[in-house]
Amino acid sequence: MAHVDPDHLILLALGEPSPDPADAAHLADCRTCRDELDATRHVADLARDGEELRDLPAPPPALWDRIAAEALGPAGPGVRRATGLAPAPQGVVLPFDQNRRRQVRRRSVLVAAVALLVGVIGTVGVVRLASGDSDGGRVVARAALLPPAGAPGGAHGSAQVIDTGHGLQVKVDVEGMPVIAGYYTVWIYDGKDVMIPLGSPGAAPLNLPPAAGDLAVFHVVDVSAQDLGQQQHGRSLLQGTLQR
Amino acid sequence: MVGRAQGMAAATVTSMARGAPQEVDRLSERFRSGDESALREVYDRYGAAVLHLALGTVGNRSDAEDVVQATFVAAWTGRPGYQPDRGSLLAWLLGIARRKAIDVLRARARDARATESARRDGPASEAVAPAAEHVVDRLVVADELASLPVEQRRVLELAFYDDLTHQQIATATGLPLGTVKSQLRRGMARLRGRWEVDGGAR
Repeated sequence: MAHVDPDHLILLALGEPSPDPADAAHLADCRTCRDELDATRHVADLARDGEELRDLPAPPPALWDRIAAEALGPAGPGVRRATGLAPAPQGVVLPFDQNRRRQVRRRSVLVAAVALLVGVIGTVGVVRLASGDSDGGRVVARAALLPPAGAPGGAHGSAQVIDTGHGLQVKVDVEGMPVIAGYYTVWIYDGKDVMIPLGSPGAAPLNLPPAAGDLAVFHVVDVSAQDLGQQQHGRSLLQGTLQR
Repeated sequence: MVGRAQGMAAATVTSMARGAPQEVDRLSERFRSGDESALREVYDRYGAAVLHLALGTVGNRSDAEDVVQATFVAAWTGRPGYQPDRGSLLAWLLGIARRKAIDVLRARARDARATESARRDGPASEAVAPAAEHVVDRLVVADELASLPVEQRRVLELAFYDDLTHQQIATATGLPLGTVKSQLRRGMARLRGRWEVDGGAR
């Protein structure tokens, strides 16, 4: 008797029905196929559970210094100076990919609602781009945010980079923002050619990705106006240089 | 500044770094041969995963950071002991981290006994082992998923995280149904293979 088609096993493991109704009867009788299905399903479940692992916070910068001091000794300042950016071109910083775009699209529904709210409130006051206070965290850099040339005047804001002891977070407060059709996004920027989106209005503070953790390199905070579904940086509304 | 920023391709970053398997192999080789810059790169790539495991095991940040430090220092001094044919560098690091974390729990239990206080400080090391094993499995599978070719990864992520059926994935991506199925099959085979080498299946 033929075993279950491997493609069907994958679909079953992912929770879809098999295209072949006879598979169920075969599985009931065949230990080999059942074991195969169980193992595949287990791996699929592990992968599903791993969603949160995609954006693990980086260890605090000071931890590397401790490791370098103990493992490499006082020599090797070159290594210690090489901050998280060295391997970036090979693999850490990726071009915006399809999957990320989906997330942005999903998020933008919420953001559209928030933007609408902002519109209703009008110029009343402060939009908190990153909520949460700095409980226990230490402010390691600040920036005053002002409209760059060509952006509408009247808006201003401030950014703080907080060392939480478990990664860096960015808190951005803005005031007097123009009402826009889309939504606002906070970016960290190296002032040259890499801009990394940090997030949109929401309950969580904005995590600074480890590869952008070197504030000597990523020293500019930017708040842009984005159209719905726009993946690239839109129009700068506010910008400022981080002072440490 | 504004003009330059417009139209620029944005970048995204993950802490579970993506990279082709050959690239990781080269990094492991440089690490083994004592290249100091490789230690930094290995830490950048896997430090967050090791910290995640440590936090889940020892429960508090300060001890967890000590575990991460002990892990990378032990990995560096013991690097000739890493055998690539027996598993990935990540799995090896996580194995060291688990042992270091259990050392912390044992030391805590000793302290608790010494002070006659009940062990309210945390779970016993024996109880922690299976939980840590599950975390290791998830971390190595997530690492493998992150290193898959982009189309394979995307198809699997749509199935895992967005709960799409293979037909819905075909519609969402514009890929032919046959391609979706073969990418699911190949991607799952890679995850399964990695789990068998690195994970709880051993």
